[in-house]
Amino acid sequence: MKRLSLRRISRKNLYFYYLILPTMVVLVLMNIYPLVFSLSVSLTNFNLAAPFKKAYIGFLNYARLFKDPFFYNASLNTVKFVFLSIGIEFVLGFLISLLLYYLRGLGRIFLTIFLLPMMLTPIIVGLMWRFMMNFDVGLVQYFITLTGLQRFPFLANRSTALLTVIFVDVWQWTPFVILLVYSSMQGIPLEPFEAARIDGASELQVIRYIILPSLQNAAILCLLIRGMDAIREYDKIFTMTAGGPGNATETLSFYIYRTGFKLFNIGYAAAISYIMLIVVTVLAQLLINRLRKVVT
Amino acid sequence: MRGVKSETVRTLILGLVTVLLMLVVVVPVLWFILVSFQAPTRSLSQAPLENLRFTLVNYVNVFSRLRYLRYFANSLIITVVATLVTLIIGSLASYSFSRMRNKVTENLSFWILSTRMLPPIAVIIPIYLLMSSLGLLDTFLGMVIIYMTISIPYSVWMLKSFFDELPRELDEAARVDGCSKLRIIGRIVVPIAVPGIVSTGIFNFITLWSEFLFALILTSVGTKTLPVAIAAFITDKGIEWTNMAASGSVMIVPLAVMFYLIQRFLIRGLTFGVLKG
Repeated sequence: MKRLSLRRISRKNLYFYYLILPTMVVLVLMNIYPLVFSLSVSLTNFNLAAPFKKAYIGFLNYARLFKDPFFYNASLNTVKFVFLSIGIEFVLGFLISLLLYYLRGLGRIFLTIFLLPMMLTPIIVGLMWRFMMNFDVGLVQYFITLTGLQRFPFLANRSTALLTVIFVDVWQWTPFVILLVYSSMQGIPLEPFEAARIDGASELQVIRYIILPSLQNAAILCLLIRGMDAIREYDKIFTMTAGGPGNATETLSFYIYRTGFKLFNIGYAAAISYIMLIVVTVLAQLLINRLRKVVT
Repeated sequence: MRGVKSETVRTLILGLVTVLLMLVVVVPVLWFILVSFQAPTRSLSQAPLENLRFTLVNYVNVFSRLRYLRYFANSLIITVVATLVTLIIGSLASYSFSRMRNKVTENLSFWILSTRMLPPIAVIIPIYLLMSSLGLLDTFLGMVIIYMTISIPYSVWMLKSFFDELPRELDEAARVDGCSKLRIIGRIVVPIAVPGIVSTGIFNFITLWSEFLFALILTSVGTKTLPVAIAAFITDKGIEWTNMAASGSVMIVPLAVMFYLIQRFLIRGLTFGVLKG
């Protein structure tokens, strides 16, 4: 009897695997294949401008990478962008969620308004802020002159361009953190609060010992999703600065694009992609394993 | 009595801070939409808030001169077809993941999620070369395949979260009644899960509608999509601000409407169905 049912289950399972098959075919074709192919391209000097001169050059591209100042610049910009924007988004998102939480019923209404930036297409957000900051006609500049200060070229200045791009990313994605954190706060049961109040706990103690610990799952998810999106960020940089001024806002994504599709140096671009891929895969695995514990 | 008063003062201050923050959120968007209704010469004024006069000239411009309708149609075709095919393929897979729980399917589903984490730029070179060797550059078929790759991992997870909520007894009962396996999915599971499937579709639509990098590299005259066309307002001679604002507004307004329509599933949709909201 037991063997019979086992057999039936495995036949049934086979059918379930067939249903997964189409998905797997698409994903393997469009994900695994590029990974393998990318590696082989990265070992050549393939150039789109001279496609017939393609030759195997071993690890020369990788060796070149470690002496390439543009690569270091782009890596540093990516790290700065990811850490600063996510850091600020987390702190700001948490504070605004607390604010909404204390406002009770009103908070729910305000929340929908706070979510607006998240709904907009990233390239439009980039263009929108580029216009806001425009030296001559930007609304931000207008407000600055109203306070009696001088206009300032935020995006054209080497030392403020990256910070400005980070500001716009924070503007767009803090709402995401707010949404997740605020709704986790809604799920906190009321009893601990009452107990804490009876015990005479201070406001800060309530935040530290009751609210913060219950946000753990939301925080892990936020970190995973925002982290991966920040590393790939491309659209806003494309429309706001195109990597400039000079290379002040050139992230890895942008450097790969420039190397491969502006300078046509496909082989070298593939090598940079590969390094980026390895780093991202390691990070993603760490976070996904963490998530796996949460989910299962 | 004093306690009540200080409570009110506190709420007032917090409310004020919130309103200020909301201005930072709302003003740029309203300004962008306002500019789309201003004459092109007006946008070059140094006193932007004076002499506002409404005109539809930018919208007329954009819809006639700039082949905007063509790009709009391209975006619509690619996005809708990719979304529909994704929903079909994704439903089958996520139904399996929901009904068959073992180590293999768990590993597979987390692998599928991890493909969503890859930065597109890191795979775009081989995909570009693949598409070019298959003759699929700048074709609808090529774009649909790429967009399916983007939306499948997300859809599988999102749909699974909806299928998980349907009781398994339903399938069992149908099978006892002699319903074939595919009919169980088509006639019983899918009809009940319609709200979930529709909202997954809308989320996919929103993502693909805004997608930029793949479209930038893989499309040109034949299948150029809206985001690429709008980014092309950045030229060497400067930016046609008002035209850009008009086409950008047309692009984002439907998105905002869709977002508010699926608000109930917003959190679930943004976290691959992991947080239920």
